[in-house]
Amino acid sequence: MMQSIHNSYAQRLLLIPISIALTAQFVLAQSPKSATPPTEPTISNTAEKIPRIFDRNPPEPEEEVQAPPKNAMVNFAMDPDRWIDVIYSQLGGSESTFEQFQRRRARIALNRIELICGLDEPLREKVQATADLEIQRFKTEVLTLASQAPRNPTQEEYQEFYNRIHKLTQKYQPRVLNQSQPSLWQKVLTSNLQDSQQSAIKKETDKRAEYREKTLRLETILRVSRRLGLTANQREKLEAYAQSQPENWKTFERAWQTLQSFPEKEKQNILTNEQIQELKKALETTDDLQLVVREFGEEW
Amino acid sequence: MIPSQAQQISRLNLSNYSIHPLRAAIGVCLLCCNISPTKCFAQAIVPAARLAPAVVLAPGAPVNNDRDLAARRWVRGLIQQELHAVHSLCKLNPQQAKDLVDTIESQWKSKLASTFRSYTESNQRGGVDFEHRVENAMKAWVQASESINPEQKSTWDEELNSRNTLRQKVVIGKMISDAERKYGLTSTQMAEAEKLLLDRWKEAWWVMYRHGTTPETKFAWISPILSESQRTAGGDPGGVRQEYYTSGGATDLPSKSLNERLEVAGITSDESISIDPIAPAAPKP
Repeated sequence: MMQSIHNSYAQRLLLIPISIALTAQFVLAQSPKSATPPTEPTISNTAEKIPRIFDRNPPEPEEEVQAPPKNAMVNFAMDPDRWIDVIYSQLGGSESTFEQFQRRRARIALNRIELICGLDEPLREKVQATADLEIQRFKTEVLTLASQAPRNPTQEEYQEFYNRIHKLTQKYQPRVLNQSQPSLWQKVLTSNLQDSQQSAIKKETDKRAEYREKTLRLETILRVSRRLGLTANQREKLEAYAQSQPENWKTFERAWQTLQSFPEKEKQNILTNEQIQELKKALETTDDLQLVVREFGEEW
Repeated sequence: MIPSQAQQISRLNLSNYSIHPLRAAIGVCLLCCNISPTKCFAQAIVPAARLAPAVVLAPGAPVNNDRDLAARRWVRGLIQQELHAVHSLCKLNPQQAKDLVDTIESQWKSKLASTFRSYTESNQRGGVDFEHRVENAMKAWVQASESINPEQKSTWDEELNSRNTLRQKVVIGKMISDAERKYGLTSTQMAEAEKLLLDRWKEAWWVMYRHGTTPETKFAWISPILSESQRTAGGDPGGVRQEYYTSGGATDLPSKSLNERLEVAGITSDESISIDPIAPAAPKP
């Protein structure tokens, strides 16, 4: 067996110089042809036009991309796809998350109304279909806007176009939801609800708003209590004041000012002498980062 | 290095610690692969002896920066308020007041050392719950006091319970407000959810809240009170809650100078107890 292996290796070693010699002859035979200028190989099969992944030299693009101007904001072309991403990012996500969020928002509102005053199935379907239609309309508007966008925007062009983006997305910004421009599905729902249903929804909405306000009030009282060292009785007394003037007790700073402006008699009714002295001091500030929470309730 | 660790190290035998820089030096050399381990070992023996005194120098280094001082002032301010509150609720007699204020004046620095350290070393976002820590320390002092009678102690415990109830209301109220938007709760469901969350109350929720985060209301916790359609719809991932961080603002912590003695019911702490005012370290060039 060993003998046969040795033989096979020996045969291969002999073959190497022979093959080199043959290749050299072949190259020499081809050399007159290679001296002529190279011609483009004719591509007959369409599949060969498709660049393969391992091609070292990918084909040149058909269209020469115009270089961005020197004052361009970014050094790449802002094609419509990129602009679409920019527009949806203004709403805090992508196209699919926007769609999902809007659908679910309508669905959650309908579920809640169903619990409050009942909702028949045809109306539910109608409202959901309107919500879907509204989403599609917005998506079309986004596509239209993106197609009009500048390709290599300068800072000024970008700002100008950004205003248009803001105008389009403003309606769906969380900050203004349900406040200035109700959605189409909300209008459809309102117009199809009976008066009794609408009043039940209003009553329910007020209750939930009151719950949120109460939580905010308690939070402020907790902070005032920490600052002044109030006891349980004092906190109860203060809560009654806060309930009567909810606007002045929404933040700690406003509550502090309100307390400072209390008449002396009322101060003495609620606070001890040490606490009244403490109340005269200005609030100390800190450089630490502080969480600011803006509460937005749903109207539906 | 934090002062307490530095002091501990300085009291110990240095020969135990001289091996650490040596090991570190060997490790660096092995990583670099430029010098053989044997050669490196030989070179590292001399620096180890020289490096050891550097560890000892740590206690003398200035450790009190502005944050440390601010933390101490806030802690003293809170302690002072707690003393007033104890007196207004428990009506301390002069002897009780004297005992309590002396105990606190002599122990506050050691008892709350970790609080100053946490604040000094914390990053910007993570806060320290001064109120809770001082409250716990005060509770321990009141409970340990031999002159304060059990009735007074139970009165103080009731006050602490009342504070905890308020905290629970605030944190759970925030969680419910979140869940209202997320799952579309009605006012009736909100009341039911409040009970459910109250049963699940954890101290960690309060800590999270003080650190600036509202704990999440999990779907599984409130799913029993949801309707079939609400359960199918699930939660709203976006929501309309807006949170952001802002730099600075008014703090709700009282502060008391380190030069002023603690006092309760007109009685100040004993002159024999050093209050040791600390000057802030000079700013580095």
